[in-house]
Formats: sequence, C-alpha cells, structure tokens
Amino acid sequence: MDRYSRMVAFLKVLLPLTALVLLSTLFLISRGVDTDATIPFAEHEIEERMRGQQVTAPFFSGTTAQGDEITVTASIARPGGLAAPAVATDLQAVIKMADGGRLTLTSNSGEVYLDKDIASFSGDVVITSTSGLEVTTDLLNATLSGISANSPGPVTATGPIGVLNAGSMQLETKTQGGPLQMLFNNGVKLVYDPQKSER
Amino acid sequence: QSTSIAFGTIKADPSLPVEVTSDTLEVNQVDGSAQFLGSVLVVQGVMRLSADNVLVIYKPEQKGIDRLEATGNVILVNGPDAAEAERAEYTIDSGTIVMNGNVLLSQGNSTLASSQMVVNLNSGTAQMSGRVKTILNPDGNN
Repeated sequence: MDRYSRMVAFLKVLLPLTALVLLSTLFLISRGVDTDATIPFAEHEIEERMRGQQVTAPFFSGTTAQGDEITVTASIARPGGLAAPAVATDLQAVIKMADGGRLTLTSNSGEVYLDKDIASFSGDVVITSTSGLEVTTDLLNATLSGISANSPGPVTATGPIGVLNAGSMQLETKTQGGPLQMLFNNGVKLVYDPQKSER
Repeated sequence: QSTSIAFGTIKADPSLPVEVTSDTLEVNQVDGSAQFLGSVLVVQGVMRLSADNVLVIYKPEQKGIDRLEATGNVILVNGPDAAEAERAEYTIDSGTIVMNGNVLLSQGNSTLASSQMVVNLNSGTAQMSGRVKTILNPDGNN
C-alpha cells in the first residue's frame, strides 16, 4: 500500500472520531439546561385560585325600567354559593339616569345577594352625584332591580351646600318616575361657610 | 306706611359659618335643590332662625348658597329681639332677611305687627311695612 492509501485509511478512522468528539461536546460537556424554572406564582396565590372560581376585572351593565343605565366594574369578583353572597373587591358603579343626572359609587368591597335582590357596598363607600354632592359612608345597601339605596349608618357629605353629616341616608325616587331624591334623616347637621365659596 | 327700628343689639356678621340642623334633608339629584324638613334651625353667630322647612337656593354654577327660604311658623331670634312670621327669605351674602305673612316683632315690652319686615343683619336695623300696628304696654309689664 503506498503512502497515499495508507494516509486515506488513517484519515478514514481519525475524521469520524473527531466528528464524534465534536458532537459529544454539544451534549456531554455543555452547561446543561436547568429544567425546573421557578413558576412566577406564590404558593398562597395558587391555593387562593384553587379555592373557588374567580373573575378578574368583571364588567356588568344594564338598564332599569325607567331607562337609567347602570355599569358596575370591580377588580376581582367571586361567585357566591347557595348561602354565601357573591363577593367583589374595589367596586365602581356608574349610574346614568334617564333624566340626565349621573351618580358614581366606589367602595372597597361589595356583596351581591341575588335572592334578596340587594347589593351591599362596604368599606369607605363614596357616592358623588351631579349636584356636586359627595357622600361618604361605610355601608350602603342598594336594590338591584331599580335605583334605590340606603345607608343605615352615619353619613357625611360635602358639596356646594357645605359640610353635612346625618344619621342615615336614603336614595330613592319618591313619586313613580319622579326625580331621584337623596334623603338624609335622623338628625341632619350642615355647616356652610360663606367665605369658602366666595374665593 | 313703614317704620324702621333697631333689631338685635350686636351687629350680625354675614360671613360667619351658617349652621343648619333639621330632622331630614332632601337633595333632588336632578336639579340639585335641597330642602330641610322637620324643626329646622338655622344658626349664624347670634342670629337663630327656626322654621318647619327651609329650601336652599344655590348661586349659579353651584358656587355656594344664594339664599334660604323658610316657610311654616318661622321664628327669628337675634339677641333680645324675636320676630315671628309665616315665611322668611334669608340672603346670606347680603345678610338681609325678608319676612312676610303677619309678622309679629317683640322687643323688650313692646310688640309690633305688620305684613312684611326686612331685617338687615349688618346694620342691625329692621324695616317693617304694610299695616304696621304697635302695641305698647304703658305700665311696663307684659
């Protein structure tokens, strides 16, 4: 065998071996993929999600018989069971009344009792109305089928009328189809400062 | 005919805060009008006005309260003097109270009756007009 064929025979062995070595560096010596990447959820969040269904950023809108539009949004809403009411957090409700008025209502949390047709807002409830009145209370029960609400607890309100606090507050239309009235009762005290409005 | 008399010893200051207390308050959400009902008492400094119900009228663009309309046995007390009428209108900024509907003013031991009375709180004077009738008690006790 002359030199050339001996060199070819030698290369026939050497070249596949180097190829094998090169290939193995890809798998054997490489840094290796860390397969157990950390999941971005904390443990308690998973448990919370597992406990019951949950709607994030729910949006609900409807119109009442008199033609007033109600839109309600929240950050999280959980459906209620048979006895337990549906619970929502960071609620915001906007009511556009047929005769032009507009009411916005925000609260920390709210529960919806479908069987009793009541939605109760709790946790620094703020109601602002077109008449420039801003009413704050800590609990407000509103009926679902129409526009009427009452806040059994003490209420404070500020507006062009001045600063006012009352024992309780009712929001309803007194006569059928009449204008929406906000009734403050059991003891109303208003302080109006003429200077403040002059500036 | 009309007579003008002093009303109340201390000059009331219309820029003092007005305090209104009542049993209930109705705020109409459409036009924003507010009505105090049930033994309403309006207190500003020395002046006290009590009535069955008081309607609040706003300045334009809700910048503040323009005037209060009190109806139903209105009693106005300002210092030692007291006046009674069916209706009264108190314009806060100008500090004038217009009372009409058989006004009865009692000052010390004399009482005056007329159909209308305009009280100016700043100057502490009252202007009674329309069938003014005075009842003076000569012997000083009433």
